[in-house]
Amino acid sequence: MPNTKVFIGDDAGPKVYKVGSIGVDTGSQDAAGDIYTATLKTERFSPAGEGGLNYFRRVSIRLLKSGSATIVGKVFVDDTQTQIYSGSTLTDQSVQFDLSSSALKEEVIEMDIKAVGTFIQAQLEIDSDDIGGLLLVESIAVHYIPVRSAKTRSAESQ
Amino acid sequence: MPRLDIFPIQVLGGIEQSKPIPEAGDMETLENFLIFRGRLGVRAPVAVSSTLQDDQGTPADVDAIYDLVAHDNKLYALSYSSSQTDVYLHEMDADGENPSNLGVVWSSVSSESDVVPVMASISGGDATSPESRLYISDYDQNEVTKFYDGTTINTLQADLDNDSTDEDITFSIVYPYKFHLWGTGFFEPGANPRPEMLRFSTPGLIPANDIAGGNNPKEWHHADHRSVGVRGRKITAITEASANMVVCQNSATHAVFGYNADSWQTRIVSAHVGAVGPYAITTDGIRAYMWTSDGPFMTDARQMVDIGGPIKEEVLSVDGGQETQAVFSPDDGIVYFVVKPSEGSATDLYLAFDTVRQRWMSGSWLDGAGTATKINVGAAAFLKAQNLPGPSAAPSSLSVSLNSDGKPSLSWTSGDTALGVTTTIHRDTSPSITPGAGNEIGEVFSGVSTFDDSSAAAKTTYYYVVRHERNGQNSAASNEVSQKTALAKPTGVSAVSIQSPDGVRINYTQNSNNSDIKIQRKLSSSGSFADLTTLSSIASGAQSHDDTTGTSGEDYDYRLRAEETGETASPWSDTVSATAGQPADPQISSTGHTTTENGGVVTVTVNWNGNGDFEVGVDTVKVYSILDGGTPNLETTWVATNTTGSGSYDYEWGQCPNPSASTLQFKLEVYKGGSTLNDTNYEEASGFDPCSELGPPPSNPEDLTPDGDISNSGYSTAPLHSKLVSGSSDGEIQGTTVNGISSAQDSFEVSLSDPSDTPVVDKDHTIKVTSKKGGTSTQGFIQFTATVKQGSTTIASKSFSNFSTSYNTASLNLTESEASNITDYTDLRIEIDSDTVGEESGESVIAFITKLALEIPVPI
Repeated sequence: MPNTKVFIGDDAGPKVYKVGSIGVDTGSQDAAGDIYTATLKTERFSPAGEGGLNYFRRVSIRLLKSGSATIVGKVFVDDTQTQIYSGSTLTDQSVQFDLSSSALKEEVIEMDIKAVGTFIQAQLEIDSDDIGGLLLVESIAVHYIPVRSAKTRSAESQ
Repeated sequence: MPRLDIFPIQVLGGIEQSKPIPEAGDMETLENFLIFRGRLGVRAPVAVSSTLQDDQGTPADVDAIYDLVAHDNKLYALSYSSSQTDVYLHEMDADGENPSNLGVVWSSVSSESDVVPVMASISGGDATSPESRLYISDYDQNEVTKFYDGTTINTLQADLDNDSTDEDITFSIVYPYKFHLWGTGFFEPGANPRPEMLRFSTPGLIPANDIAGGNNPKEWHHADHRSVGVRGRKITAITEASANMVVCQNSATHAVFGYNADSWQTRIVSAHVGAVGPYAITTDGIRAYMWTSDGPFMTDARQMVDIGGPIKEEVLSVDGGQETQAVFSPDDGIVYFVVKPSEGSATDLYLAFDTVRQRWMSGSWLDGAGTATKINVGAAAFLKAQNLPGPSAAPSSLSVSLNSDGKPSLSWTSGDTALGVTTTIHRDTSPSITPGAGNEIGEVFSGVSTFDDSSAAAKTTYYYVVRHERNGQNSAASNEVSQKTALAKPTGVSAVSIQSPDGVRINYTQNSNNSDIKIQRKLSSSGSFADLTTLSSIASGAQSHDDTTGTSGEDYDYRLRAEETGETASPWSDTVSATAGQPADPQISSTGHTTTENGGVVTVTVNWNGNGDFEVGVDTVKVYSILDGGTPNLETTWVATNTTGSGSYDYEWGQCPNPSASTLQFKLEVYKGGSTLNDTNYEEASGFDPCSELGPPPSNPEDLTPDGDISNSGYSTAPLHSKLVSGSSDGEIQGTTVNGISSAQDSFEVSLSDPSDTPVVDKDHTIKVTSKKGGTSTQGFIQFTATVKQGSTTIASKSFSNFSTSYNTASLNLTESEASNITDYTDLRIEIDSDTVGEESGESVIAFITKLALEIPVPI
């Protein structure tokens, strides 16, 4: 167990705070019960190059977890959030994964998407009080079918 | 939302058409995530450990915290009270709790910003009488330097100007390095300030005995000074890296190294950047990390490395005061920089730098008492704990029940929910548990108060206690509870269709010896489960039950559980499904084969037709080849692609003749479900030679032409053969002239040229005779008989008549039987017998022949 503590002092008040240990003191809230949201959004990823075109079909996230957790996943293709039909209405696709409590193990969650575009970004949002036990993001992968590669040209002489 | 550029998640491998995000390793946003053991974890929370108050009769909360430092295994803080205009020193335990106000450090400080306190910790003495000092200096040099010796707060006095009189010392920073105590600042501030310099004292660390015997602190027994960098430029921060003292000025960084007054040397590390203030620097021992006027830098006291390229835009501004903080967390390997965010003016943003992987992350800590606001950080410190407190109270109200798996599920009330507190779960099959490592079955993190004992055996009574652990110390155990687990549920459950009578066979493994097995059933398409039957006293091991009460052809779902009087029934097994009644077996009804040749390669295609009862993707046909009646050799396993079961397989026989075998035979077996051998086992009646089934090989016709006269009776003019080779161009021969109503019989025999190759088949042998009728008769004709001979042996004899007065060719085909009698193509002859018949008085008839040949096929 970690035995080194980080403390911070309030610049505008009387409180001394103790910072928990990453991965060990998860599943909690900040002082006064404040819930904080952790957000992870990947950079733009263009598997067929800039100007290329891809048929994106799936984003999979590999996690290491020991407890329950609720994770919201979103995918953006060409800066536009992917959409899905809710009844007859197209709505932004926001997938909520409710992971049940279990022993420490790896788990893969997937978002099925159907979007054509040049680049893709995946976003995960986790509220601090929705984590029971350990929850670590190991990797994110996109599954796609390249439609058209980026155009290239040879060097030009003067 | 903060935008951070650099952060790779290492992803190895991948599957086809997949790539990790980000491939090059970038994150656009990474807020409240931090690296933990190579992965990304949501940052840990912060909790209030202490609330600092002034020293009045009714203490009131202080207004700000200047600095935090770990000293003598405790946490010390400097605070400011605007109502009292005092700066206080506070002491807390190693967990940041139980604060006490040690007294006023500086009084009559009219404004919080009038002082920028900096603390430094030293310790010494000997093993039996350890001593420690906590030095407190004002970075702005408005207040005299103080030190706390564990009892009182004292003013630092020393005779630094060597006038035999101690004076108050006003350092801006005090720092211990290499058994010396270093102080910086403009000395004798006021009328004649002296340039900034480093003062150092010996012995520096507190000696066990008072060397001087005076009133001054013993560590200031003797003092000297050194200049660093540009004289007059303020020293902003001091730390240590790679056994060097790192001394920063506003726009420069220096390294000081050596071991005493005779060996101190300085080396410039950077002439451009230095830490912006006394709190803006920290160290992991090897490298120092600082926030400079040009963003964050890292140094090993030799080189400066700019580590802040991607995140400078996050920061609004920095100053030389306390607003910019840097603190290193050894457990996580992270340096937290607390800075002003670009969209705000408070220091409520931390930028976390992972020193191992050199990646940036960002976040804020919250405390709003219901309305979350970001904590404006005024101080930061880490404390390497040595004697940390244990759990404050034991867990209580432990209770247990069975979960849906029939396993014990524990729940309790935590006695201590502080960060870093864990709860261990202990189990035994006997009561009065003494918790220890031997009976610990699990551990849960801070704040978690439930645990499912998935390792519990069935039908067993267990006793449980839980206790907290904190900093290696355990609380007392909770109350003890017990729970008997449920019976073990049946496993390995499967259902298969059966016939005669139609039904479903349920196979399972009984795991609760001699307990009853209850079976429930429902239609797969609808309805809910209802009891089907209860099987009494079933022994452990593999078991089965036939349900023949269903309707043939219907799909049914089944589930099972173990039951026993006085015991908790097991959870239901997995649900399995099957169709009542078994479909007909797949069978092959007929087969056959075709032989083809392509480019000299012979392929035999075996074909079969199924009975329409094949299950696609499941039932199979195995095709064996048998050469010369030998051992069957499996060629392929055909998986049904249609319900009819019709299929084919191409077997490559090779070239003809095949040197390795002369006959081929096929054997086919039908498998139901891939493993159960069906009755169908078809074997072709007998072997066959694929070569013999092929058509004639490709050939070209070749004419064998006369090359010598053997006999002649009536034809002219000899030699005959030379005129019969190529037609009229080389001449013609003629028989006897018949006048009037009469006839004449002529004959000749010529030998034939040798063929260029021996025909491989006995077909397409043709005698070609080009002849005409001469003379004046219109009704006369010639009756020819052409005989092919091998030596003197007749091979075939063909007759034809010719009435035409112009040349025409009679083609006379030999039968295969006739042709097959030819054994020597170099000894062939043709004999022509002609009967010239005149039908009119006064008119003449003559037989003419201009070409004679035997056409045979020769291989290409």
